[in-house]
Amino acid sequence: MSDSKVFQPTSINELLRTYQEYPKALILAGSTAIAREQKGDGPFELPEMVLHISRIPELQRISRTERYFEIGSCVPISRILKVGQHVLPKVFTHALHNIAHPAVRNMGTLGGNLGHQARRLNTFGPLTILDARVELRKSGSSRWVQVPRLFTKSGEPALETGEFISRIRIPFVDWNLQFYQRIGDPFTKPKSSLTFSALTDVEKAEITDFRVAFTFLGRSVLRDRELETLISGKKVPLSEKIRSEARSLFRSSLMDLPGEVTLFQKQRALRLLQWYLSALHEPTSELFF
Amino acid sequence: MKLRFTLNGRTIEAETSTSTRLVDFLRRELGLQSLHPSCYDGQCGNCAILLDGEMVYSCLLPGFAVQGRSITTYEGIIDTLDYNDIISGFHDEQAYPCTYCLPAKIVITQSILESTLDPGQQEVLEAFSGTYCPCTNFHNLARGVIRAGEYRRRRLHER
Repeated sequence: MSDSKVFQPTSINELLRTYQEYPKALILAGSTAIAREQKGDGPFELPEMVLHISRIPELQRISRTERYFEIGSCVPISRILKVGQHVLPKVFTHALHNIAHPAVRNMGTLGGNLGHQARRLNTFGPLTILDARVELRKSGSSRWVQVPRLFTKSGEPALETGEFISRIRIPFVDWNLQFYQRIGDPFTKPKSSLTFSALTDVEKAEITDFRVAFTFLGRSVLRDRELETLISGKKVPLSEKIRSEARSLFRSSLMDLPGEVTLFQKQRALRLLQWYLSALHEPTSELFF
Repeated sequence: MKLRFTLNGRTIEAETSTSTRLVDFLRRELGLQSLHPSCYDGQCGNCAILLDGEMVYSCLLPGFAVQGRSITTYEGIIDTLDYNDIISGFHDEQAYPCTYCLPAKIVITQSILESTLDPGQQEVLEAFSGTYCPCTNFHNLARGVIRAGEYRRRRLHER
């Protein structure tokens, strides 16, 4: 096996220049995902060109304004937790805590977790419902997109040639009920794994905003806007009639999912949603963050 | 690929293949026998090292990830007073890891004590959550780490 060519840029400009020259290069920062996918004691199988970007200071920055938190794509997960534990939305920090164990969190980066080509990992669901935005940069331009726009409907990366994730912007919005649950391990049990993220605002026993997203740890993500509209504006606790309506609506959305989502995953998703809807009430419960 | 980095306080210049895992580079090419990779999947923790002071598992990293960075392994801790603190703490609380996983447990303990000299039990158990070897009672181990922190506090205070 021939050796890969590895570039280790130390600035964004150097990265942009090199990536423009080698647009097919693999961008690597924490390398945890690639390592977990290539099990066994053999060497790594890397493509011909690799851009190792973990030494670029601009991609390692975390900044905060009154309206949002901005995180460089190469910031390790553990540093985000250290800096943002008490200010970032709980649904997001809980998702970060659920990533493997401290040694992996010291290596893995947010950009890698979000931009994994074949899997929508822990942070994808929470950042989707938090309306987080991602900065995509390439030589001569940059643009901000919403998290779901990182991939096409069929699950392929929607990045243009030479584009890479440089920053993630998470808005500060107060949610009085936040919930996150991951089932299974995306790398060892992809057919039985999923994440469930939920945000709900309840004021005077009325749901003013409701958002839920499921990621099935393959390429499939389900955010059911019809369900969100149905639940918004309803009183808590939700009546049996509303819950049953929501159940059938959600069941039909699950049926529309592509074949890679297993029946087991669909059943778990439905049960999680049923439980969540039945547990919704005024924000005093310890079940929620 | 040519690499230049700091290993246990010494500047190293070495060459390795870009596909070589860091653990193999350190163990096979640089002879650091304290690293005992067994799972190559980030599950057992026996290849733990400190990379720029942070605990990482060297089986999950490519060798070239160390370029320009600083590595500390068990070999770099064993001759220091830090090691004495840790071993004394372990001994007091009857935490006796086996010879296979001891180096990793020392490295992980060092990473905990570098971030705080007064760790909580939960914090310690969390740090060890990525280790697998069942040789030691984890509650004894947690108490051992907390005791090691006390030893180190006392030693640094006496200076």
